Amino acid sequence: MAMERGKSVLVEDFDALVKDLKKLDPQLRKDFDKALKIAAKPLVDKARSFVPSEIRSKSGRVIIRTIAPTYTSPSWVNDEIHRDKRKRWVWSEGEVRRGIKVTKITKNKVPVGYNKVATAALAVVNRSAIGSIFELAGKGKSASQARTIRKSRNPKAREDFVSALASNYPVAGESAAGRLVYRAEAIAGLSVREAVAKVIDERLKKFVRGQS
Amino acid sequence: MTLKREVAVDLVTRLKDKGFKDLEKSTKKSDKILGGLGKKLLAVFSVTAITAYGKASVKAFLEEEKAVRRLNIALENTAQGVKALAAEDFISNLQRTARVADDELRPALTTLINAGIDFEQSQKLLKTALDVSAGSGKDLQSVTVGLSRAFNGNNTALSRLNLGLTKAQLTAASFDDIIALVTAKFSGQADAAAQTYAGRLAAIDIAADEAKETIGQGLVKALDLAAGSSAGAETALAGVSTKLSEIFVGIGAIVGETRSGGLPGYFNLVKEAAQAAVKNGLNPFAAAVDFFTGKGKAAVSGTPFLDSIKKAIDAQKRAAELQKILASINAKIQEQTRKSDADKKRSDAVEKLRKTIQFKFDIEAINQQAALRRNLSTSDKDRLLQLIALKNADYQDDEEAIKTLTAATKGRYTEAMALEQMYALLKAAGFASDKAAIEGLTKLDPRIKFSDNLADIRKALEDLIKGQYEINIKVNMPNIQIPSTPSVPTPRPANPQIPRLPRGPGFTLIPPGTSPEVFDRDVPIVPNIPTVIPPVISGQTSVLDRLDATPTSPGFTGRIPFGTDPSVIVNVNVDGSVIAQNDLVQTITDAVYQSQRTGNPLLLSEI
Repeated sequence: MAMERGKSVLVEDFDALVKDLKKLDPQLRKDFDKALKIAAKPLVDKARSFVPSEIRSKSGRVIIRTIAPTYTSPSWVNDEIHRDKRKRWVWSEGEVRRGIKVTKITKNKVPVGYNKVATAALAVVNRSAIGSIFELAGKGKSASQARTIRKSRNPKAREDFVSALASNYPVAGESAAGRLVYRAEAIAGLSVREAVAKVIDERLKKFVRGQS
Repeated sequence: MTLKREVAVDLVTRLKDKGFKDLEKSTKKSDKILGGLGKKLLAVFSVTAITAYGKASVKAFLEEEKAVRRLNIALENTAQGVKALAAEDFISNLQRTARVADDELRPALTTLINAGIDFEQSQKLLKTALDVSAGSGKDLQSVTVGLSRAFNGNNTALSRLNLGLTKAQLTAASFDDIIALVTAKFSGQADAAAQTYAGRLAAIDIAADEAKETIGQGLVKALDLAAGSSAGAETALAGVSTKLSEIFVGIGAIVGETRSGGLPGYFNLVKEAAQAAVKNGLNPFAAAVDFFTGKGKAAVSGTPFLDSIKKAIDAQKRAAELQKILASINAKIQEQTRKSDADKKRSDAVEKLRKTIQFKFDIEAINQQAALRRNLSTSDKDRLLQLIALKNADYQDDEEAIKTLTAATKGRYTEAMALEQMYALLKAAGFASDKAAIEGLTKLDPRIKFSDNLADIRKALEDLIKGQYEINIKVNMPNIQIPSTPSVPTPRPANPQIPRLPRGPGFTLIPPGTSPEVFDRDVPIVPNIPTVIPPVISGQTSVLDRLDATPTSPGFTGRIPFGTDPSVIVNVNVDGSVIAQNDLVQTITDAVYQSQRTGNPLLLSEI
């Protein structure tokens, strides 16, 4: 099956096929899932290899702290204007690495035709929040950037963050789409998709439909 | 934090329909979908609802539908079309109370309505006709025809029914009067008949027919859907009904057999059949359909399809068991082969060692080696070497013997001497490893340098062997009184570590300072066995002892090992009988003299 880079393997009746496979023998379904995960693993491993232990700018300044800051000054402690009520994101290599995994369900939907959508049946996700920030920082389009809620006392906090991050982790070349899973996809996506397509052909379609 | 979109790389995607309505808008798609739905419906029917009489059900349904249509047309023609629904209700109720099938009621009612009788009166007449039919034993249709003709003034048919009406009554009485007479005569007959045993059986038949028609109705609808139009139903029915009936019969046969065999067994059987189909690259659903179809055919035609599947699976199991047994047998054979190989290797090693030892004490070989040391003509030496090769071949295996003899025949004596074998025998004689063997050789002669290269060792040995053969004689004789003889000049310097023995005429073999008692020992002489005498001189090892650790092998030239004691050695071997002591002494003395005179080495090996 000739694969095109960046395009997923679309199996229209994937759910029905998997259901039939399970009816045939539950073990076949388990084996199929396992084979899919194994096929997708190189992508996960590659993406995880891009996770740095700490995030520093080119000059060595820490961009994302590994420990949440504590405030002593009353004006800072009680400041709710310039700080989000939610948790302050901190960098955790382990958390980010764990967040990169193979999943069978994502929230993403891709329109197909005029009355259908395609959803992921197998995907590699970067599910941790801080991992997603690191992956995509500086990648948003202008419309998206305009929607950014600015809370910092520094009016150019976003620009400073993005430029400092980009100094050490540029979004270019193989990282043009992102710094972790998208970068891994740019490198190993094609071969992984071919492996996945092979698994589907050999273990799903051939078994259920008798297709070659 | 809810993300609208995840950071994800989609590897496999699937389609999700937004809804049936959206899809229905597309006419092309909807046809396809409905067709698929019809097939699914058919699939549902095929496995759940329809039984072996599906074909008959369809037929019954079609018959009933035809009858209903006839009745409806009759009502419409008499401007009573609106009462069609009421007519169906009436028929339905009446068949339950009178326990007469709607197949009979509906045509009877149609006949009455066709005669011009209105719907309400037709209902009453049908009830009367039921009574008359039950009371007279005539079939309902005949009675109805008689009544309908009587309604139109023709009483002939009624008179033929022999209902007990006189000719005068039939001629003079009006239709209403005749009905009144008949009703009076047969009233309650239908109810009474319905309560009888036969009536109750009829009720069961009616229910069964109803079910058949209902199933037939569903099946026809399913076929309609599957074929895409009602026009195709008949065509589809012809093809599908046979297939379906086979499947249904198959299911029925399996259900029947599960009473004795147990359901789980069949599930396993089906599962195994599906798995076998998958392994063979077949569609498991098609295989399942084939399975049930085949079962149905088997039930109909008697072909033992199920048995054949069972046999096939049993054969597979047996083949697998056979494979296991074969594998275990092969493993045992391999194990035995390994053991026998090891035994053979061990026995070969033992045999080699045995031959090595035998060769060391082979008198003939020793003599040949001794003869080789003499000054022989070239032709004599060639013959002797060939004899040695023959002797060596006795101690070799077939392959080695062939090589040795071939080499000897061609005059390649160095090869025939088989230095390599000598090297192997060296190891067999007690050296633990190659390195030890080489070190042992080095100790024997300093000209052999330590090297891992066997070729170098061989060359060094060849060079040594090419030198002059020498013999060192040392007397080890028990109970022999040797007379004093003149001293014999020593040809070579003696080993300073070993007490030098005087040689030549008049020398005494008893070392100075050694008491004669040392020699006076009893050594048993066993017939036919070489007697090896231990060293006489206290604290001095004999050359025989050293030979245990020196090169003695087929191919070894017999030269006394390098750097050994140069003193005279006489090996005394008495074969067969004891000879006179004086004769022995004289013989040895002569031999020593002759050796010194001629310069030839001497080995006194046999007397």
